[in-house]
Amino acid sequence: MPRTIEADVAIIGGGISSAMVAERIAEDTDASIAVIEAGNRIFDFENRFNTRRRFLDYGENPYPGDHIPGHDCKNAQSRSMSVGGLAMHWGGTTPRYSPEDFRLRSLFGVGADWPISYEDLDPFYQEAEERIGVAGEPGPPEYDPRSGGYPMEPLPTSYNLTLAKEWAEKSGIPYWRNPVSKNSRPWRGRRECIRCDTCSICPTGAKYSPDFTFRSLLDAGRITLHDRTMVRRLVPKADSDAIEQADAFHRDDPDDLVTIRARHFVLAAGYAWSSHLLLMSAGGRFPDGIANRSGTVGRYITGHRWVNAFVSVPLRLYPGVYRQDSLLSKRFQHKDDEAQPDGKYIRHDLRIWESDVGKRARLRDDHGNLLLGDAALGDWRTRIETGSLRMRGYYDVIPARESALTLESNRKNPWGDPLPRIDFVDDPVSAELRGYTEAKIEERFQRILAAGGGEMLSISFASDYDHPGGGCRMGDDPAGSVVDAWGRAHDHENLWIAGAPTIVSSGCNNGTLTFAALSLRTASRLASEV
Amino acid sequence: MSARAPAENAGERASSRRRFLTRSGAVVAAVAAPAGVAAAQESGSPSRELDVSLLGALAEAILPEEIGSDGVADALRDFITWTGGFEPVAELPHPYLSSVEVQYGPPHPAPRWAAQLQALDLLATKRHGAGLSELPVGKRRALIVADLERHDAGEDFPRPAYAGHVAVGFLARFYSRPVAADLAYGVRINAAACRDLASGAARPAPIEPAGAEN
Repeated sequence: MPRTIEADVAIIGGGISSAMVAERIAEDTDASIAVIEAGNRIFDFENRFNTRRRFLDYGENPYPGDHIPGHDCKNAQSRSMSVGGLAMHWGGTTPRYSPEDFRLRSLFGVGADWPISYEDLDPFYQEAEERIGVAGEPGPPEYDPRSGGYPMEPLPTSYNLTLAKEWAEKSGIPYWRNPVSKNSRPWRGRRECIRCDTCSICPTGAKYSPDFTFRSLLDAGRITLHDRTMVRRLVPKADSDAIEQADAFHRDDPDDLVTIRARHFVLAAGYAWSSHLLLMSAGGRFPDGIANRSGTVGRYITGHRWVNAFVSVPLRLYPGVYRQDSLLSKRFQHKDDEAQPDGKYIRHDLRIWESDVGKRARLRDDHGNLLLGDAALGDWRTRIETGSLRMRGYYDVIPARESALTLESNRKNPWGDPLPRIDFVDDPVSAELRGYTEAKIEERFQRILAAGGGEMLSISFASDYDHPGGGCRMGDDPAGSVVDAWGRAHDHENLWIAGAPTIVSSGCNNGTLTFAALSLRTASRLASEV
Repeated sequence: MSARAPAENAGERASSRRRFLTRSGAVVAAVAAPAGVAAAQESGSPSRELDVSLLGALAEAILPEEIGSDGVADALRDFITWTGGFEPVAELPHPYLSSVEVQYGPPHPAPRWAAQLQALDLLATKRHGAGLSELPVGKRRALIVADLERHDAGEDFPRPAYAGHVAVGFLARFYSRPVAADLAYGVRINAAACRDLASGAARPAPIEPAGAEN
């Protein structure tokens, strides 16, 4: 049976950006809020010790059913689609972007400046850290500035990382604790971390995930949550460019139209599905899609690549105490002669984790002999006299306009809609510097090894982008961007786009906190208009 | 540390057999106790197809000698419980940085492993005139090594359910458990255990030698 959902604010998408917008609007206004999510609602917190156990013992998905069969975006980061989104699985890593990330054109002559500065976003970073609960240790202010302290003191440094930090800093490169959305003390109704070390399935709720926010808002009667409801099209009004409604269907009754009417629509469906919906909504006065007069919807898909190495170090380490913990350095995100010694654009972070690569029990020795009985333990003990660490650098990649999400007419989901694909394309400046950048990061790994001792076990280089974003980039010029500096679509006064799709570049750090901060900034402006 | 030579003379063989028979009875009693195992066996789960006596004989031949009979019994109990709780073709986590269709796990490995155990037992009888459980550890191990080479066992341990051979599956499970890492490192890392925040900051405590007083 056809039905209608009516609200002051309709938020399409149910991930962390949606949670931030919903919570902020609920706090600041009396507006009615409807959250629409195509995936399932997996509110199973009470069962997570069990699902964690099975994840450990059998490698099973701790969130079964968190996807939609046949509904995927080729080359996307994950299949995950459920209430809470990919931030159900995430590791809870929450570094900020650097001030330099917002001024690439001005400082380095590459890419584009954002229409906002780091200082503009700083209060929303702080707000995001408060809402999701971030524990951290401030880094050197020249590399990691912030106007306020972290909400929570850092989790105690693990024994392994204490040794790793001393080892790494012999190179002269400063390291500090990577901030995380894991409670070092009880925070907003969630308990403190007890280091279960399976952060993708946190059984205690010490790691933030958006289901907590949605459950809280539901309990307070501040939102309605419509899961398994897939939006197919945004429909503009006949007499203006404002969005009148969204057409959707419930996956249990796909033949019945669900009409969503709202004064404001917030698209918070991530970097892939936000662009997908806008392109799917092409027609009438908007032949290239909603919000796409600039022709940039789906364009400038951004991200960073990584260089990853496992190294053997002259340290007696005990992997397994807290593998999720890591060290961070933003030393080479800064603009100075040491970070860019040849005047070329190279910026990257550095991270270090404990590891057991090369230090696990094995079935055969180096000569191919089977290791049974005490021989296996003997071999293992010999190899763990030294430790191993994982080192990684994310380096910034400037996206080309052709780095894009497009619709594939020959590939459709079970309901007949074309599915998206993403093709990551570097801007020529990044394409030309790719080999140089990867060699330079490897050289810096070797510098750390030379100073602290040890050897490289293996090194690998990413092919595609990690932590992608973009597709609805923000900008002051409507001819070259999709949304303004607040996330409002240039072409539609009541359409807002939140979080990852709006970013201009991906910097060198994990993006989730930035997506959350941008969403809160969008919500702050929207709240003033509801 | 090198491998200790397996017992091969007659006296050691007899002693080994006595130890095994004593231990085997204890292990069978032990693994019968957990409700999950009993339920699995009653429900017709593939885990019931694993002959516990043969599995015990295998375990004794492939596990480190230094864990002793209690360690073998513990490993055997764990493996039976693990096998009983296995869900065939379970949904797996989405691979990160990939949009491939959701993946599912393997079928239940127990029927394959049970057949291999039976084959090892038959081979022992035909080659040595005694079943696998009755052979001294050294001969058992030689049979298992030959079988593993025939199965082209790899260099590293797969996830247990993906092991092509029952011996690899058993060892993969054993060496993936925190108790094995603690044994190797000589300290209580106790990986995968939830713990209070501060405790991870200190070097893990050494494991007290057996018999040491507090």
